[in-house]
Amino acid sequence: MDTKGNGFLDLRGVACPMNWVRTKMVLEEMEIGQKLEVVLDDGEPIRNVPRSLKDEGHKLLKVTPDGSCFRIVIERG
Amino acid sequence: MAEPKKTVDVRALKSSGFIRQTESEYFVCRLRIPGGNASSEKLIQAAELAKKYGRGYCHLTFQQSVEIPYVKLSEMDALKAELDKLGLRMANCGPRVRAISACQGCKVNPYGRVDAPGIAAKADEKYFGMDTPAKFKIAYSGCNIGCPNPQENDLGFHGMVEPDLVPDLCNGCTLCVQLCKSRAGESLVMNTKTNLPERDDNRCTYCGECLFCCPTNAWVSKRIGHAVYVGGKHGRFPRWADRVADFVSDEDTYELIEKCVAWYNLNGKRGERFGTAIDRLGMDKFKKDVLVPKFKTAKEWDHHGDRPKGINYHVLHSWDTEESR
Repeated sequence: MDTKGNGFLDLRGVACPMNWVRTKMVLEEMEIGQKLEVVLDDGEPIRNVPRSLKDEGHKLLKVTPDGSCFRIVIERG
Repeated sequence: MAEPKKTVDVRALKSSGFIRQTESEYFVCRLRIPGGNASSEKLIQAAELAKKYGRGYCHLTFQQSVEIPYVKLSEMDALKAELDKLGLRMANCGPRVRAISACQGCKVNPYGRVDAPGIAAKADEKYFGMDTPAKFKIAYSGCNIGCPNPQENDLGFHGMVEPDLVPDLCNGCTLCVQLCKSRAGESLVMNTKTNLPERDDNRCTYCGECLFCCPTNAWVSKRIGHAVYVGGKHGRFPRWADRVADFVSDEDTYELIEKCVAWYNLNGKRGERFGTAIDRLGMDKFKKDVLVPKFKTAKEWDHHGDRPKGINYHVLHSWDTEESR
């Protein structure tokens, strides 16, 4: 998926809820429709961050497993 | 034998919720908290009574009761009178249906599927204290994580949901597939042609993880109900309960409690737990007497009914170790 020209955030090793706080801070600086790629750990992070995205009206476009973590692509809502 | 000054019927006291302690002049007063929910006022009142009649502390039991230890025999009647005045009810002990326990359920826990404490409190009003050959414990869990240990109670229930996909709402993000693969039932796979998840019912645990996680609410519930487990217990010879029915409605769980208690009273020997009676007489007889034809499982399960057949539990291991709940 094309995420060029937009943001990237590596949140491996960052626990909840700080991973969401940092994602949110980056999203707030972006334009509606722009894309952000985030790397999240398995476990609580991959369950919680998408749920927070939904609550705040952002779109989750893609989830790809990458070893013990996940790469997700978010569209700023 | 009874002392001349006062006769104490320990057995009768036990059934009313006063349980004799190691030091025989003291009794534990067990309060009834059906479904594990008690108002702030009642907890404060219980704490005050523990200060007045006990030693200033309460014990929280494994079965979700609040106990006031160290109540003197001579003060029991006064304590009982105060409890009655405050509307605090006492639980029980001995061979009968105990206060029914539950988790927080769907109203508090987003992962919950059914209102476990609400249903448990209703069941408690109906069936608490019914005499049985030995103790009879009932637990309601909101989901199949099973915090109130439904598989370790004489009769246990946990919420379950059959998911259904609304294709128009799905944007193909694959989150449900990833989460199902690593912690639910490995039931979902992505169809690369349609870019939609497909569910294999044989591998589904009906946990609802997909409904819970879906960012676009594309997964909806086709039906919700309770899984039913019978014959579980702790003790010197623990027994893991057997799953006997799926997608049972709230009302029908009450019918099952009635039927199970009636069957147990008819067939159980004095002091014999429910699961032991089932083992002695055979699961087939129990099923024929109590379940057929109304209650049955949604499919054939593995390992007492708590696992779908053919899924790889090693990849599901992360569910047990990484979750902090």
